Amino acid sequence: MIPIPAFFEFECPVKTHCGHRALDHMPFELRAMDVAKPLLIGDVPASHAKRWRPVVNAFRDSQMTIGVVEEIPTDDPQAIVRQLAAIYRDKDCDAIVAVGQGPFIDMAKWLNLVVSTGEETLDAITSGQAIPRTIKPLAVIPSAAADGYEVSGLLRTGNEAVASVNLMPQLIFIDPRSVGQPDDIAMAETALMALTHGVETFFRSDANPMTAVYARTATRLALDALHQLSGIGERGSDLAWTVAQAAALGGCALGCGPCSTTHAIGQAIAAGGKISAAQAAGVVLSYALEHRAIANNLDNDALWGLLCDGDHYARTPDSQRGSAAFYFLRSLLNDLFDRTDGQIRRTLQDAGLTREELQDVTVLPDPLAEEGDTGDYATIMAHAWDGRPLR
Amino acid sequence: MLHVPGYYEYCCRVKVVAGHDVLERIPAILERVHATRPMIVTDRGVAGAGLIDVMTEAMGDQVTIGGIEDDVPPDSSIEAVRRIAEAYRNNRCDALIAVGGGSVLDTAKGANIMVSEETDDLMAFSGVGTLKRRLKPLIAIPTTAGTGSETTLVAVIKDHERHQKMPFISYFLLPDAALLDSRMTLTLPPAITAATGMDALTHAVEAYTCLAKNPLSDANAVSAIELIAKHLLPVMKQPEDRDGRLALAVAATLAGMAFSNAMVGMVHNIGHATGAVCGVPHGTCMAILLPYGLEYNQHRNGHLTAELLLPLEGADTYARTPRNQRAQRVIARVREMNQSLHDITQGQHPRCLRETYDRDGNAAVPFERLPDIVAAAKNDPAVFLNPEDLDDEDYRMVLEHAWAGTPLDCTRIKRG
Ligand SMILES: [Fe+2]
Repeated sequence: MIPIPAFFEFECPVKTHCGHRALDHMPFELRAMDVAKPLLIGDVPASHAKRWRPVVNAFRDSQMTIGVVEEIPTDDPQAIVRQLAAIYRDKDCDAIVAVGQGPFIDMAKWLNLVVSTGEETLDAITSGQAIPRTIKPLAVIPSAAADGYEVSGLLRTGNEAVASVNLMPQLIFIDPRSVGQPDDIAMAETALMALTHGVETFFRSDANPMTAVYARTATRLALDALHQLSGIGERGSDLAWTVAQAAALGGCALGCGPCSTTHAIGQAIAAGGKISAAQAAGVVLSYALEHRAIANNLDNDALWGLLCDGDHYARTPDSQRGSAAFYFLRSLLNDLFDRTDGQIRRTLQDAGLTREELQDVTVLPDPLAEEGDTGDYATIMAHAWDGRPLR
Repeated sequence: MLHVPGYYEYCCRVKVVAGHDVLERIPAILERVHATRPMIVTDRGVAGAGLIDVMTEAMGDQVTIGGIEDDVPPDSSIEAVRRIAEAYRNNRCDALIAVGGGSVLDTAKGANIMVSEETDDLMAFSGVGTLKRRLKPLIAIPTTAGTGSETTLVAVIKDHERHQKMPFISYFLLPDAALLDSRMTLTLPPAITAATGMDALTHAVEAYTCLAKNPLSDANAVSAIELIAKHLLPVMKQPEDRDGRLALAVAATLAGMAFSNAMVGMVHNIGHATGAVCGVPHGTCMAILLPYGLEYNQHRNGHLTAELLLPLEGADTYARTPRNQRAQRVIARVREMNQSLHDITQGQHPRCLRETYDRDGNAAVPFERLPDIVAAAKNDPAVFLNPEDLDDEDYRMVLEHAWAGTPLDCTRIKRG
């Protein structure tokens, strides 16, 4: 159990609808927020993955007028946001329903700011003031191929980043019909990112028992999915749905809080183009945690309790819980590596990075990085390179 | 274990601010919602305990208090709502701070509807989804660590003229913030600390073991149980333990989040009826009935009850207790907690219905009243999500054992 801080604040405005026919609840939920005419927007992958249709169909018998723009590109966010804002105003819309992933959802959040505040650039919107809590309702339809920030309060575009709890979607609908059916590699990457979000937010400096609820649930769901993908667990027909849940609830756990060591390192390594940010984070996670444990900055009991079920946890002696956790995370990657013919990497070396290239990786302090995170990135990366435990 | 139902919803939109110095932050919290002249709504008990003074002192002179209404009745009524709405208007207030338990918060919610919608017809806004926009800022400050009502989007207001309880259900009724400050429960009398703590425990346990559970409500419930198991008895022995008090307040809110998403079962069902028929305080009913609910449902959800041994007694006991005895051990542990609470309060915390007394010292639940409780329980919706059905005979059996304080006879529980 994590200790209760002497002071903490918690807020998560997201209402989750999850499971069989979840989308059918959307018109009712939007009306309850006084929405009369939502604008449905979707990205190109959403249409290709057949995620878009079920969302539109959910409004069929609702007698609700909707605006729709699909197959929206993400190459020029500023211009696209401007165009979408014109459509939104022209059609008299009063809420946004976004079907897409990653940068597209960043655009949807940005669009929401533009139509709610009347300002166009992020600078103007955020200059000197907090993002108002009165911005329009945003509904997000989570995907099984996600970067994990969709449901968070973070908005990133180019080098800019804005964080506010008011940027989080008020409504999410995780319906098996609209999560898509990405291939195993994409799902494993989504789940690895969700795992990283869950574990790192659980131990973040602003963690509290309420953020821990989302962190724990996202972690459990991500591990469940990864066990299925690695062949350890039996594969269920709802695997993609589980992956989408893990990613979405991981976003709730992130909220608008600071980013962590694993993310900073993962992003920096991914910038080299040899490994995705999700895989890099997945590889780095156990080493970053172990590094923290050695610096006496991690509760091993809590970590092992987070990663395994009650029976496993209780039967592992105190003294073994830390090493059990690190071993567990590494074996999971080994199994995934085996199952995916090496497409999911166990180490940075697997991804074809050389030691020399690693030395050139500069971990830039994320604009939203956790305060005091001056971590010894070089050591963590060196161990993540060939998979050597830190002790 | 991860239990994911085919469909679930989860929402806890209320902002929680918790700590030892939250009251000092009220001016900043009001500023964030653009309010400068709050009205404080509370009841005589809270005001009499000096909690409003603690609060206003902590706020200093940074906020002008528009008025203090301290006579909310124990059952929120439409008259009280009207009176508070009028005072709010007369004093040109622009926010509400509800300090107290469920009825204080419900009354403040009702008044908020009247002043925000600028209406005199409160009942026109009853039901689900009638409210369409944000109301005036409402801040909830619970003064017991139990009900979890700060997390709910419901208000129930009694219309005495029409003899009706009118429900109001809307996300716009959620408080803008729930403030948990250890000072607000520091002086809670031992018997009330015990009863409200067991109410919170029951919220968490029923949410975890009944039918509408989901992975998020489960995580809420497990954390709440862990905190209550760790802190309730120490706080009883050392009432001034502010870390323990804060932990219990956080646990009650976590448990509130669990049950407002996953609902409750027969313990609340029979408890509501016992409270309505015999006037036994809600938390007391919960403490007495919780082990019976777990026993009665054990053939259906014993595997879930068993999992709660880990947060309740920790890893060592869990590992050492054979799998098929864990549920039994949980039930025994709840009974032990009641016994300890009974001992610490010198008998003020009853272990069975037979030990409950009214204000005049008469038995609160005479044995002859059990059939009336059965009749009331049958009409309470809380039973729908209980894992096992109950007919008249079942209710009667459970109540008789809870009355006498004897464990259920497992052979008498019908299956299916
Ligand atoms: Fe209760």
